[in-house]
Amino acid sequence: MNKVNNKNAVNNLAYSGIRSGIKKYVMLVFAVILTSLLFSTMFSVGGSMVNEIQESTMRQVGGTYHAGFKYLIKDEYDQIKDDPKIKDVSYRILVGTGDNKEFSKLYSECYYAEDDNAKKSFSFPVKGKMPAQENEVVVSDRILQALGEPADIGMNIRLDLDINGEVISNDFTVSGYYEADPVCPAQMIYVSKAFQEKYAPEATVPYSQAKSSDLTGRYSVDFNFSNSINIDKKVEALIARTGLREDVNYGINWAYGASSLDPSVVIICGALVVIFMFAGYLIIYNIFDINIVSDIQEFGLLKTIGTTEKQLKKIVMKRANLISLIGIPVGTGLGILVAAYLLPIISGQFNTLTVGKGSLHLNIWILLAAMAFSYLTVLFSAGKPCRKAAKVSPVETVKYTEAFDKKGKPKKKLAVVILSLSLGLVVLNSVFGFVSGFSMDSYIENLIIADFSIQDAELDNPGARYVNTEAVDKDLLDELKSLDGVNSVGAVYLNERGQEFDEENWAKIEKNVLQSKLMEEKFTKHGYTEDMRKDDLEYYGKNRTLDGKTYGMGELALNKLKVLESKDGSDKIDWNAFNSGEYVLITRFETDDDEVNFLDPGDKITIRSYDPQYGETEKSVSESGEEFEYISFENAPVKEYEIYAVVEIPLALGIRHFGLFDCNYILPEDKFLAQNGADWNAMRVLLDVEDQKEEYVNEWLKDYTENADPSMDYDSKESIMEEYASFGRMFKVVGAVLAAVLGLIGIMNFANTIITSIIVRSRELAMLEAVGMTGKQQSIKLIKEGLIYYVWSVLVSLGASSVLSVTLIKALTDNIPMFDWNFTLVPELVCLPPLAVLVICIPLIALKKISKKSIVDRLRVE
Amino acid sequence: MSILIAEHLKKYYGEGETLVKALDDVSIEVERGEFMSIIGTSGSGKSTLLHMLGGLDNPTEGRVVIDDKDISTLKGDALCIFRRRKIGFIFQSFNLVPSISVYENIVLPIQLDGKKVDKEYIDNVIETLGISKKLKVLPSKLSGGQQQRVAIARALASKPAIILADEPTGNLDTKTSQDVLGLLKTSGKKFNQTIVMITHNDEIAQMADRTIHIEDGHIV
Repeated sequence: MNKVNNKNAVNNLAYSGIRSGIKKYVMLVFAVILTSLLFSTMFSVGGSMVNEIQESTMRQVGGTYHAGFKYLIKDEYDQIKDDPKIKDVSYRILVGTGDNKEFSKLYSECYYAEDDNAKKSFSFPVKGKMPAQENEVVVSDRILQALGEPADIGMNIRLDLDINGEVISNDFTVSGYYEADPVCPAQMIYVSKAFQEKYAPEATVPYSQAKSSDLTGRYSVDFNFSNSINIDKKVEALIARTGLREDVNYGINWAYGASSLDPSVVIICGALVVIFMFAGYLIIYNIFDINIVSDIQEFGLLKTIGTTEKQLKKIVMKRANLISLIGIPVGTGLGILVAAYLLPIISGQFNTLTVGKGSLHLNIWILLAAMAFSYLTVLFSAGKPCRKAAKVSPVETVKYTEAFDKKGKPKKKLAVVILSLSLGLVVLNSVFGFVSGFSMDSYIENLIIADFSIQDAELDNPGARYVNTEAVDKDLLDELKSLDGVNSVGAVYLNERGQEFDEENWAKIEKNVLQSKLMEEKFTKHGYTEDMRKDDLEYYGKNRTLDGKTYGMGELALNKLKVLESKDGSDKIDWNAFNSGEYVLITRFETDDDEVNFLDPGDKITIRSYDPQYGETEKSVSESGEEFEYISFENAPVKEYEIYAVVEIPLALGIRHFGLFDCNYILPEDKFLAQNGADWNAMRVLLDVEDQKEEYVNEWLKDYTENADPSMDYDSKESIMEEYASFGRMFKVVGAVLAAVLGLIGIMNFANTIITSIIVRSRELAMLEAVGMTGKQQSIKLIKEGLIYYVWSVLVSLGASSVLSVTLIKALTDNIPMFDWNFTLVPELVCLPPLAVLVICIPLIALKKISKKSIVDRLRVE
Repeated sequence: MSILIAEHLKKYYGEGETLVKALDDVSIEVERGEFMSIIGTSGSGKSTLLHMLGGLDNPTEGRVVIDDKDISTLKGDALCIFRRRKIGFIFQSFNLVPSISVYENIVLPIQLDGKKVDKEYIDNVIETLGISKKLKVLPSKLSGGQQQRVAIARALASKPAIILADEPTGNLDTKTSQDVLGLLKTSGKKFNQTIVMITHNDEIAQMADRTIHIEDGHIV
């Protein structure tokens, strides 16, 4: 087959056609820009958020490695290090833990580490270098802070290191320091190879043959695979492949877990992609179609002189490509800007803690995906008009232009424009209908319990792995008490040991709870199999224990409890009576739908003392046959209390870790300390402050949590209100951007359709004018045509908005506690008058434009 | 009595070296009931003259009086209204509105004026032009000759003071041209209409009562 070189001719035709109808193509480029803006924004925001969540998780985990082996000896390290399927292999060797008394709140580990290992564990020195000499050390800025040193290098510090149970004190020179991540629980102390070899020589016995506490001198080996898919299986394969012992301890970085993809997020993203593609399709298709119709004579002519269908298609596709080439990069760029604007607002609503929160993370693949979707939309949209252009019959072309209004065209065009206009309106109405249901008051009441609340920074982060439930020490508590303007201080103490019951109470609990339907529900929800249920119930019955927490609360905190049932029938707890030492409060057994008392007011329960003075060190043997020590309170005294009331603990007062039962007791704070020892520290402290002093206390707490002890955090009434207000704002801003772009697309589509139809009919209108249709009459005629689009759009969008409101929006608001559902069409109704103005103005402007040419000129145009 | 008077009409385009004198001092008068043809070659200025006469274009100088009204004093919508009441147009390319039926096309100028259709008169016109069977179809379904007959009917419909026909047979074959022209002439006489027709065809021009020649913007 001969290959005809007609490339130049086709190119020439394709691009000269654009030049002659430049305005139409500018419009088209604009439509493509809007479409790719939507995709690019969504993909950039999505990609950045996934990255942020992943990074935040990595920081909690303390590294970016896919996986790692622990407690290896050198031979084992050598066994795996050259495996071809792993890369970035690095190791560190455990020396001990930091034991300075200044580190009471810091958990620190001492290692010799390879540079790469430190780098990928976020602990490579930002200033200075890794230790080389025996007396050199790298620590975090927080360790330096705890030691009262500035964040700098070159100073001498004294470190007490617990190496295999033996504490040794050494003077070190700080050769470098790194910036500690507030999320990462462990502080690293890096020593030199020389130091490690001297004090913690490499272990030679495999861990499986050693005592479980024999950890020093062992390798922690971290590595990456080629990708993060199915890491678990890959690690198992690696163990099998390299012949590493099967019982090797390994860890997988759960930042790479697929669990981070919430199905509802996937659905929402999918829906957005469909909406964007549809909106883009509607306008790009429509403009292309209009262009083809108005260029039909050109195509007919080309066909007459021998252009093939294939070449005509090529011409249209070349134009589509050129439009994409300009529109998609510009739209993607703008989308990135919009994403940069939205990200801080969206990120603020996630419990991610990471450096550079809310910042844009651009990934070439994500941008390429966004561009691909945009281009796909263009291809979809151009497809049909393209076929239409190719099918044009040269003879019919003249007729086609004249009669396209009556060839069933308007119905289709009408539908496209109506859908396009409606889409923006419906999204707008739905988003704002949803946001208007945002009612903070009812929800926030549960969250605001005092002017201020001070606790461990991670305590209220449901994603945190390590929380300190004794974070407020006595010194801080005293300081808070003596703060200027503090009216009252309420501490909340927590002991997470479970509860135990006598036979009588147990019988009651079995009847009330264990044999109830609610229990079945709870088991099902937690994924218990039949066997597990049986085993567990048997275990509970044998020991007569349930999981539960014992709280100690001061008067201020106690007043925030919700009293469900009480001994005296009151819905308030009389502090003086309760504080007598005779009484305890108890919570209920709850499922999502229902709740039931474990025990009732008036019942008597016993609480064991966990005061360290009663603790006895005992030895036991673990399942693996290993001996270990533990502290037993079996012989500690037990005190009887009478249940004063059944209460509910507001989320903001308790801890967000939940057990299966959560049979919780509440004691007055003094009685709690009497039970558990006076040295027990508070989990959380509430402050009520004089109004005029709120700002002062706020400043004090801010300074304290930022500078004195960054592991602590505080909430203020204001900050909580602000947090939830900003949650509502996020939806508003994101919704407004979305509705604005979709609305713009709708209006553009309308304007384009009307303007094009007026230009195409410019001659018809001139004819009408020649036979005496005045400008006014023409205006009215065109406005009427516009109003048909308008009325239809109003009907369709109001209908669709109503349906969405009672289905999707209702379902959404029912699932989010701080939203109430209410039916509203107000957001849309507000938009209708301005839209009506546009619907009237656009035809008038177009008419005015074509009227600039004299009738004679317009009549002459064929 | 003259129904149409054009005095010293000039239409210049451009200026300096590119100045084109499309019309240069043309004066004509047309009597009521007269069928006059203006003949000229392509580019002679005959179409420009017709546009001036019909108020579709403004002269650079001079004035046009139709039915005692100086139309150069009329602007915009006023001119438009005058046109639909006093002037009927017939174009070479028919210029029917494609989206409405033949009948609607015919009565359009009357309806635009918000007037009641003189049913008897219109039926008579339609009958005379032989298009009574095509009233409900769209113009695109008609042949050229039929379309031009509809255009004549439309021009007659509002009982104008004068009918201006711009190459009415330019798009038609010889046989059809004869038919259409015959009909134009007959209906003009029957309904006592004044007709000014421009053409480049001598034979066609000869069918008129009076013929004037125009060449290079001058009446010869």
